[in-house]
Amino acid sequence: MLTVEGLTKRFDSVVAVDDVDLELREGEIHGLIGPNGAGKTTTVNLITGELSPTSGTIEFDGSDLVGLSPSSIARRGIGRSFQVVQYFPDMTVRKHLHLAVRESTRTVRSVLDRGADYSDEIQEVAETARLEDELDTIAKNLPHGQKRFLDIAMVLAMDSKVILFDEPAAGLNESETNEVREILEDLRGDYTILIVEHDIDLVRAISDRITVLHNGAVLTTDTPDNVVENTQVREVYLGE
Amino acid sequence: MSDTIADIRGFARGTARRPLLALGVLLVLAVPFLFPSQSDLATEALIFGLFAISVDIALGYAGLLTLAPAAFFGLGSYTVAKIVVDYDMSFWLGFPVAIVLALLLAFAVGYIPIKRRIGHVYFVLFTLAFGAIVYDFTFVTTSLTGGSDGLGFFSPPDLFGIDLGAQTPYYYFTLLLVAVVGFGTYVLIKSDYGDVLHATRQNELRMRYLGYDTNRELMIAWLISAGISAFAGAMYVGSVGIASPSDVSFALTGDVIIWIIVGGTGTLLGPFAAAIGLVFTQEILQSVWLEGYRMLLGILFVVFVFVLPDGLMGLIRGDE
Repeated sequence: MLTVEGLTKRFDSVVAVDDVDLELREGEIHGLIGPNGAGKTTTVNLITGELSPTSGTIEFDGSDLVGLSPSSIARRGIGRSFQVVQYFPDMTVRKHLHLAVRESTRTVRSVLDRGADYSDEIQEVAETARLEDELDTIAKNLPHGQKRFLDIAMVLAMDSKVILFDEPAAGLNESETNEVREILEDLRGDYTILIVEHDIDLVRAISDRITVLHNGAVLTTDTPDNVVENTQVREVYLGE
Repeated sequence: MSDTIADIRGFARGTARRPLLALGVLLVLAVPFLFPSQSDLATEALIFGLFAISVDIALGYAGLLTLAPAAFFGLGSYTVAKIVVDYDMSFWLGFPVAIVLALLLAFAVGYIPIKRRIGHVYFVLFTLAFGAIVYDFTFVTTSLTGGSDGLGFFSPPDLFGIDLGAQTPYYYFTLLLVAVVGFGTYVLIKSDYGDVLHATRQNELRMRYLGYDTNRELMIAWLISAGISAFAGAMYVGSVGIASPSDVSFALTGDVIIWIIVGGTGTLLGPFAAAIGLVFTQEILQSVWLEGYRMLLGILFVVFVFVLPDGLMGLIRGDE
């Protein structure tokens, strides 16, 4: 579904991502882990068009994504969340999801179908993201955990085929992390998911396969159990 | 102070809302009969109200701090004057020509800072440079623009047998056009497009990753703003009968920014009302102290911003 081959990103003399191969199979949850500075977020930024690769290819459903803008890549069906939650502070949760659901914003069309009703889609996404009781809450008034859920909900509302979650549990307490885990489990099979996360227990519990990055390069890609047993991984990532 | 503001807010949003609105509409409709000597000033005030709305689209909704509103306003007035005075062509032809010229120039000015994403500060600098070029252009190209004398004088033609050169007909003509364009702008801003601009202003990164081409959305807002500004300028020259350098001056740019801040940025109605109110206030201050009226306006502005930082609409809406 999404295939990355030979992906490399250099910042002057620093190689942030070094000849990375990554394959996301349809419907799988794929973990991407590694120590700080391993190149995880840079890889996500390359796939989503925030950065341009120095070399390598990113193929999605048969077409090359390299050189496309983030908005163009998003419209092709690749959504993402962020390490630092990105939202619209003065807007309600409902308005966030309305903007995310809306398939087009052509100005004339925007005026002509002012009464367009997306309430069913919004309700469904809000329930999946545990936000059904907060639809009319102004986003800045949500607690941090629910802001994270809102970030996830917006990506779901876009009806993406592939979702890249960049540390979806960052800053969450144990109970909120468990809720994120439940949400991701609910999505299993409906979406192809790449999850970048420091919480190794969370990644191990929900991932079908895990890729470990170290110094920008792929150390291994394997099942969670095999990755945890991998000696090299234990040395560089778990510090054993 | 906060109690007083809360009382005013409660009054304006409560039972007094509809009567106040009705009173305002009646007053606007009856100006030529109640205050015939003020019809010309009221016409100008309406036009400046529409001008403020147009700039509010760029500044208040899209977050594009433009320093060239007067350049587009003046482009409208000079285009109509040029077509009528120098080419002896139809007054009405000037309107579409002015709008097309404004769109072309706005696209040229906005393309690099908006489409090429080189940052908001460059947008400010580009519009500042464009405003300065247009202003100087009116002085150095005397054969084209009439220099400091401007281009005039002329009167608008008859329309369906009605002499628009007379005060009262032109007032109602202006009122009709301002109402139509103002309502169109309101509908646009209340559509999803208004939300798109609002959201883009708050978090452009998130919008891009929701699939929105934010550069395109901002460019559309910028073009709409410039087009309506030119339209307002075209109406203005029909009222005063001459296009002059004051139509493209930075003083006018300063005025429209003040109207927007006083009315409340990103509210449309606030800048519209503030423009009308301040045009009349300026007239009163001029009668009090002709040489120093701008200083008095400046002091009023500082006091106003201190007391009501969110403008008139902020006072009425509160935490809404």
